[in-house]
Amino acid sequence: MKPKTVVWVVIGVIAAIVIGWNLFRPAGGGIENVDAQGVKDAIAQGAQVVDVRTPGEYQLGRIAGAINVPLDQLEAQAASWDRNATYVVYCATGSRSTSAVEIMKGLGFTSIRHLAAGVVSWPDQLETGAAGESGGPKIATNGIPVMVEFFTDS
Amino acid sequence: MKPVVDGLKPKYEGKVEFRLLNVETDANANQLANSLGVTGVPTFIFVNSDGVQAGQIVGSVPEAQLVEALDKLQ
Repeated sequence: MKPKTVVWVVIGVIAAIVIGWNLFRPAGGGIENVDAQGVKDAIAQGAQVVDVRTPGEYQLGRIAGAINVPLDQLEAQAASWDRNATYVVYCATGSRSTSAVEIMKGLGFTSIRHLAAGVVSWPDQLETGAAGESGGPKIATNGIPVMVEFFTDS
Repeated sequence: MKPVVDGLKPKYEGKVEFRLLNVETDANANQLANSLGVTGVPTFIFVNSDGVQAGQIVGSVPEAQLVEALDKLQ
């Protein structure tokens, strides 16, 4: 086989691998802008929903199950999250969440669904109040504030 | 985070109750963590005296960030 032919065969094999990977890579990966239905699909598959707005905005109305991590705290908090999990990220209109996606990409997250139009596009009723107020579990207090730390020894 | 949290305890003695829950060895803690949607450790949940959750921090964060959240509690 001539050297030129070998080169073209190698290029062809590499191209086939790249195309094949993009066609058949495992579902759930990638960073995508999605609409409300895309968010619902991701949630159904176990994605963690992250609301990067302020606590005040979060309490006024959020996608059910979302955790609140304001944009200015995202880098510090996300540093310890599972890089292999899928996350839905949103803010009010898509501006802050665009920054959030960039931060998470920089931290090595590879599976993100970005509600690009923001929570203003959410068609369903939003959950309101402080987290845990909407029928969820509560932490009892003894008359003074409480800080609960969940940890492991490992 | 244990040294940081232990170091903060004296400052907030009588003002904020610290509850340290090991989700590996304490089944009730694990159940509570699951019910609260905790996805990783350490996770800190801050609750005002009226029982309303005031905030949540996930991950190992600087002491100043914990202090800021603690000082906001009412």
